[in-house]
Amino acid sequence: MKIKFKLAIYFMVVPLIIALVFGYTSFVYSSESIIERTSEHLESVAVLKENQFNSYLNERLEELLDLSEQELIVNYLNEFHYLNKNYDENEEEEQEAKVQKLLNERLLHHRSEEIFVILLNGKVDISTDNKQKGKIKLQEDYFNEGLKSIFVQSFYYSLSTQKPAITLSVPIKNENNVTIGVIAGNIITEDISTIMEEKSGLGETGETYLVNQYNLLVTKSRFIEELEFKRTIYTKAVKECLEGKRGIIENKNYLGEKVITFYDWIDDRDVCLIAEQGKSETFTSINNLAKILSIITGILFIISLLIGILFSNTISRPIIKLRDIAQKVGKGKHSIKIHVKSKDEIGDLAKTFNEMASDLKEARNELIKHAKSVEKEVGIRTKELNWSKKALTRKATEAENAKLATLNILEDVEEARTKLSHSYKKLKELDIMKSTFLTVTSHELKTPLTPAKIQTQMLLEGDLGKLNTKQKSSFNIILRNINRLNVLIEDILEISRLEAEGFKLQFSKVQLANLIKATTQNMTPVAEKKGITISYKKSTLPQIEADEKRIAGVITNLIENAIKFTDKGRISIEANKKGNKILVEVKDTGKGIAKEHIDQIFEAFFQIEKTFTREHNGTGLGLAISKSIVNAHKGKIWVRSVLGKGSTFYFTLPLTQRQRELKISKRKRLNIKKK
Amino acid sequence: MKFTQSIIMALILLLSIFLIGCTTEQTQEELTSVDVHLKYFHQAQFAGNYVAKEQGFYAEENLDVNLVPFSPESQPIFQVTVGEADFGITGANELILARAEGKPLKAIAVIYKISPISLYSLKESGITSPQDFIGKNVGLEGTPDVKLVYELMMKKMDIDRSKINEIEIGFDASQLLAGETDVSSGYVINEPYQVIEAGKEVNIIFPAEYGVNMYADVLFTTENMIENNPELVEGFVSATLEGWQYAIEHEEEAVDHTLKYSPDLSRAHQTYMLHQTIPLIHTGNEHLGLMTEAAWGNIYEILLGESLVTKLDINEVYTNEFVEKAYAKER
Repeated sequence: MKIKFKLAIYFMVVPLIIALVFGYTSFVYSSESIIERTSEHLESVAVLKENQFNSYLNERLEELLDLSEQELIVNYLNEFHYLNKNYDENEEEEQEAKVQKLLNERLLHHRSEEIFVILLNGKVDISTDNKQKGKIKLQEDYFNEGLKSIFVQSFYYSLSTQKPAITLSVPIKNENNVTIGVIAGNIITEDISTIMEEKSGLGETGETYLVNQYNLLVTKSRFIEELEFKRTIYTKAVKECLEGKRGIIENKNYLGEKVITFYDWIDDRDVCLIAEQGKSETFTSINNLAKILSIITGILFIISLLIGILFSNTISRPIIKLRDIAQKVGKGKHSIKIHVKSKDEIGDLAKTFNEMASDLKEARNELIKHAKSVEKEVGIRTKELNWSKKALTRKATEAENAKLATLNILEDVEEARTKLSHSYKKLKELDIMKSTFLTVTSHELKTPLTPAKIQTQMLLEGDLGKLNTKQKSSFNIILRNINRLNVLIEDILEISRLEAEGFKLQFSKVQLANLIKATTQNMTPVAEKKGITISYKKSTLPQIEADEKRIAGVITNLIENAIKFTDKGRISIEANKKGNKILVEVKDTGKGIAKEHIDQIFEAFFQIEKTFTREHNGTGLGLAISKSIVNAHKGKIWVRSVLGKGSTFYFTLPLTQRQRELKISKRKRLNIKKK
Repeated sequence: MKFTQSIIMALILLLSIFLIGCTTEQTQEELTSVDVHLKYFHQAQFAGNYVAKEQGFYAEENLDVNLVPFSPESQPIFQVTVGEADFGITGANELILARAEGKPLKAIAVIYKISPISLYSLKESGITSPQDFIGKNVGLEGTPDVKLVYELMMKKMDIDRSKINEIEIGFDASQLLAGETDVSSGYVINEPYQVIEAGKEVNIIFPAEYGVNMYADVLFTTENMIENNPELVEGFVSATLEGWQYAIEHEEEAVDHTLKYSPDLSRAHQTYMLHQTIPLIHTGNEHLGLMTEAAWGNIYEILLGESLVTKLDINEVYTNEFVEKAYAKER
């Protein structure tokens, strides 16, 4: 939703809610008070009507009472009917006429339909209505009750008068207080209707009426003509009323309209007085109130709507403006500025925005300037480049020429290379030939040595006769030389095999520390003979993969060399883990190796003194073999030496031999996974 | 989920069965056919019955009422006694006589509390009371009721009938209009209308006002019916009284309904008839239909005085049970 509408709705809703709550509360409050007021009003009207009705009947009764005490009437009845003496008919007629005249006179002043005198036998003797004369009232309540005391026969249909009637009756008594007749009067029932109808302040829908004990409406209806004495009414109010109650109730009246009804049972008249008012009218004032309230609410609504729109406009306009301009700025129109005069947060925002926009503009201009200079530079450079290009082209031509020259040279080189390759091949062949030659010759050399050695040993042990000391010493020299020759040939065989085929190592798990210890121990007697101490500082080392026999050989060779070249002092051996390698050191305190020889000592047949010295037993092949073994383990072997002080031989061995392969295979697997 | 669904389904099923049950119950409840034998031909005298039927009051009581008019061959008392009709309408005196003969009949409500039997004269004649009959020609219709009522009235009034010229007349006002009689007898609801129709005013004299009154129309049925179908009786009484109340409040409509039964009758006459009838039915100081012991006693006394009946317990002749029940009903 747009901010404008949002704001408008907020501004609208708040006062509206307040207005509604206020309106509803006052409506409820006033409707309660109105019902209360109406009830009070209805009751007071009903009481008034009841009083009027009673006083009307009482007035009529007073009149009848007065007549019942009239000497003329009493005497007439007493004389001519009660005592029933012998009387003159003319006198009776005369008296009767007098009574008749009296009644007629009274009727003129009294408001009655008819006044009549009933004899004890129930016959109407004198009446203001001649037609009624002689009628027999033996069945009538007003006669039977009237004989005893004052009586009101409320609402019945009179056959005599052919209309609804109320008849009042009063006994007529003589001087002995004996009832000698009844004087009765029919009331003008319309008067009762009039009393009920008269203005009561019950408005358009209000009315008061009487209902008798047979649910019969006995007074006129204000709304429907000729309903009296026809319509029976069974409303809630009437029902309650006929039970002798008095009260107020909200119900539907005989017309089916919602009314508030006050009802009261008038006991001695046997009628129910109803006063009621239509609920719609009762609530007219409330409805007016509701109207006013709704008008006020409506006006409030409109005002708040207008204010809301106004406010939302003033608030949202700068925001919308800001947005529009931001959009334009976004599209590159930097020169646009927002004109917001308000000094609130939106004003600040606009100001900041303007600053931002101008900054942006500056930055952009800078950028453009820069771009232009760059362009210029590029132009210059392009020119330069063009020059260079021309130069280059020239140079290229030169180069082409040079190339041709070079090609000639290359041809020469190629020729030389081919020649070289030929020489290399020849050399290689020669090398192999040398090795084969060596192997074969070694073997051939070795074979005759074995029987020579055995024979010499036999001679020395005296198997072929006793030898004297000189002979023994001579044979010993022979045997020693045979052994030396044997070792020499073995080494030559080894080296030649190595060069011819390479090593075939047999890897296994090797506890290097134990290996070194064992080797050292083996060498200890030899060292001790020379008075040299040999020590190995054992430390824990991981298992390594190696050819145990060969490594033992390497170590032995190094120790042998150390012993060989050391006259005094000691030999110390150490082995430590360095990264994924084991470093073995063999340190001696011997004569050391001259710098110029260090690079050569690992070569075959090298000995410093270039001789198979007696002093230094050895073939000169040991270090070469050791180097080969260590290299075959992917290790390194080297030496550090200080002439006259001693040498230290180092070699390293990797922890595993398959490390590299493993790594490769791991990587392959990862690649597969990645795919 | 499945559990609740099945419960809901079961409830819907039960409800629909219940509803179907209800509707079928309503349609299955057929109206009980009831024959009511009227005291006379169809006319506004029985307006309440027509209204009750036409406005559906009888149907509300599950009654399909068949209103059978009087004919010389079929009299209400006989028809009800033999079971040809379920209810009848007749005069209280007739019912007492039938009862005295041992017929097991009982009045269940009164319609005409005041007898419509009247004596009427032209207004110009000045005859307004029985005393004025002396020296005049009085025409009497040839029914025992009229004669009985007339004679009793004259007796009560101490009038010497020898001074009156009594003539038997037909069942109309023609002789009065022709001047052959000064006073004629007739049902207030019928014959005097002829005079009015002829453009003349009438004076009406009700014997009832001179101490001779007999309930004219009473609803009656057999004791058997009361015993075996009290609810049906109650329904019939209640609906009939409701019909009459409606007729009183809506005279024109009641006349409309009447004319449905007897289209040949004059609307004006039926309107007049109903209007004249209402005060005789509706006295205002008693519920419609309610009977009094005094009234029944009076009738019995009259009959006894004329030696028409022997000893009889008048309380056996009528019962207010059904009228009272009708008014006790919640409205």
